[in-house]
Amino acid sequence: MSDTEEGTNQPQEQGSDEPKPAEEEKKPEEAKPFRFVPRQVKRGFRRGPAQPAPTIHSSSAFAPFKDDLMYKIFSFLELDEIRVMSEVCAKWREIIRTHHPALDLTGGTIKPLAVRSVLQSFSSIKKLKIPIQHSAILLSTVADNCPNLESLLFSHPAGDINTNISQNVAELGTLLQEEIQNRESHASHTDTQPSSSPQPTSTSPEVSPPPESNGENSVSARPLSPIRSPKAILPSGVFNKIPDAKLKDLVTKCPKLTTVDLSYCSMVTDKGVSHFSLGSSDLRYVNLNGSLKITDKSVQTLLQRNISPQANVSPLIFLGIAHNPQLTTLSLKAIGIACAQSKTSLKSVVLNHNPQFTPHDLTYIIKGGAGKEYLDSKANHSRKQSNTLTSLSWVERLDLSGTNINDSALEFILSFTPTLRILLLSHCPQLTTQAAEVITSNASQLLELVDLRGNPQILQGDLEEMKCKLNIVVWSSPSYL
Amino acid sequence: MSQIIKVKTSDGETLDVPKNVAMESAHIKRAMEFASGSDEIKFDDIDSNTMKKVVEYCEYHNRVNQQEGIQERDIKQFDNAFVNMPNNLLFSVVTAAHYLEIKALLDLCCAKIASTLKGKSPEEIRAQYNIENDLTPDDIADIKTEASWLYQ
Repeated sequence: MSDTEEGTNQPQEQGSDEPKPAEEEKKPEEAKPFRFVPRQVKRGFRRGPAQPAPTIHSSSAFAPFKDDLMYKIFSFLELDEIRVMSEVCAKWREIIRTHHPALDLTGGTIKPLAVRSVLQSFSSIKKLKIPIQHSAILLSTVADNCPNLESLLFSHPAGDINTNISQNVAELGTLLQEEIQNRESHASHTDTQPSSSPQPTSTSPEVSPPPESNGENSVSARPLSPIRSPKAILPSGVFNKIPDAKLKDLVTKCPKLTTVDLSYCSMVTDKGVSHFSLGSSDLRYVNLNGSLKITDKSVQTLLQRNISPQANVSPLIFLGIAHNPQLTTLSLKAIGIACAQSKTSLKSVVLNHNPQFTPHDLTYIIKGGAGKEYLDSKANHSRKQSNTLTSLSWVERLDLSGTNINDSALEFILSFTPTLRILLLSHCPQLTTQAAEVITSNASQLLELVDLRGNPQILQGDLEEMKCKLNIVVWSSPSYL
Repeated sequence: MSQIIKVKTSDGETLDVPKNVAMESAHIKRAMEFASGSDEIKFDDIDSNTMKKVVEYCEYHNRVNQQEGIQERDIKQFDNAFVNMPNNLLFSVVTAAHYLEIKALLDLCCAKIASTLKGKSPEEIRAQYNIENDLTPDDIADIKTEASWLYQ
C-alpha cells in the first residue's frame, strides 16, 4: 500500500494495486507547467489518488505542535511505545516516518524493489541495516536516498560476535549467548546425533557461561576448529557481494557515513577501500573481517588517512581485520606506527583467526615490536627497549582469538596496552597455563573481560585465581567457540 | 543599559524579566544581540500565564547556574513540582519552550508529556487527546509492518 505514495515521476514498482485512472488523475495535478515543485513534496505521503498530506484534527490537543516538537516528545519513549504511537493517526505515523533515524530491514519481509519507496518515506535515516543477500542491489538505492546516513550494517546470519563494534561488556555477553544458540540450532539441524540442550538464556551476561554439562558428549555441537575459514562462519555461506564501484557511490553520496560493515565482502578490493580517503569521509568503524581481496594497503590507507590537514588524526575507532590470511605484518606494523604517532584514536582492534601471524609478528601492533631475545627467554623480562616503544594508548578491545599468540608475546602486548578493557583470546593453542598468570600480572587496571574459551590447556584452577585477583568477567567454556 | 527586559505577551500584559534570566532563551538572546538598545520584546503567540511559568523556570535555573551548592536533589524536586500543571498549560509551555529555544525546559516538558503517552493503546490516546482516527484497517496492517522495521 505504501507504493501509492510514490510521486508519479517515479515508476510504480509494485503497482499492482494502483489503478491506472488514479495515476492519470495525479499527473495533471503535479504537471503544472511553470511551477517548481520541490522534490520533498513529490516524495510526500499520499494515502490515495488526490488526498492532501495528513493533518491533525483541529480540536486535537496536539494541533499547535510542530512536527519536530512532536517527534521530540516521541524520542523520550521506548521503541515499542513509538511503534504504538504510529498507529494513533496518519499524522503521527507520518511524523515518525520522517523523523525516526534507524531502520532495520533485515526481517525478510520486504522485497528489494520496495526498499526505495520505504527509504523515501523514512527520510531521516541515519542508521540502516539491510539484508546481506541483497546488498549489491540495495546499495545504490541506499546511496541515492539516504544522504544523512551515518551507519550501514548488514544482517549476518551467524550473528558473529566479531562483526559487532561494541566496547560494552554486557552487550558482548548477550551477543555471545545469541551466537552460541545460533550455532547450536544450526548444528542440531545438520548433525544426526542428539542435540545438546540450548544454553539457558537466563544466564546473565555478567556471569561467565557455565561449563557445558555434557562436555565431551556434546558431539552435536560440533566443536569448531580454532582456525576457521570465513565461509565456515556464515552457516548460509552468504558473502556480501558489494562491488568497489558501488562503494564509491556510497561514500560520495553519504558524506556523513561513519560506520560501515564490510565484513565477508568477497568483491571489495583495495580500490574500494581507497574511496574512503575521498573528501569528507569520516569513517570511524570499519569492519573488513573475512574480506579476502583486500591487502595491507587497505589497512594502511584506513589508518593513515587524515580527515583534514589540520586534524592530523585518523578518526578510526574500530578496525576489524579478522579472518584475513592474506594480510601480513605490514598491517600490524601500520597499527603500531599509527598509534605511536598519535595519529589514531583506535579503540578496538579485531585480529582474530589470522593464523599467518607468529607471536613475534603480533607484537608489532606495538610499534617496534618485541626483540627476539624478549620472546625467547621467559626469564629475561628486561625492558631495555622500552624507550623506543610506545603504548597503544587508546585501545580498549583487543581480539586475538584463534591466533598463534604465546605467553611472552601476550605479556609484551599487555604491558603496552594500559587502557585495555576487553581481551579476547579464545582458541589460542600456543598459550599455556602460564597465560592466566601473565594476564594477572600485566593487564591494565581497566580490564573487565577476558575470553579464554576453547583453551583446554588452561586449567580451571588458574582461571579461578585470575578471577579472584582481578575481579573481572572470564569466559571459559571448554567446548566449542 | 537596563538590566530588565520588558516581555509583552499576546494578551497585552507586560512582564519585567531580568536580562540574564531572559537569556536562558536562545531565541531571546539572539533577538537582543540583533536589536541592540531595545529592551522590549513581543510575543504574539504566548499568553501571560504561559510566559509566567516559563519565567518561573528560567529564574530558578538561572539562579542554580549562578550559585554553587544547590543539590541535585533539590533541582529535581523543583522540576517535578514545576511540571505538575494542567495539561493545557503544559502544552502551551512546551510550545513556548520550543519557540523560545530553552533546551532544559523543553526536555523536561517533553519528557512529562511522553510519560502521559506511555503504556496507552492508540484508542486511549485518541480519546484522551481528542485525536481523530483517520486510519483504515488496511493502513494499520502497513503500519505494523513499518513499525517492525524501526530500531534503536
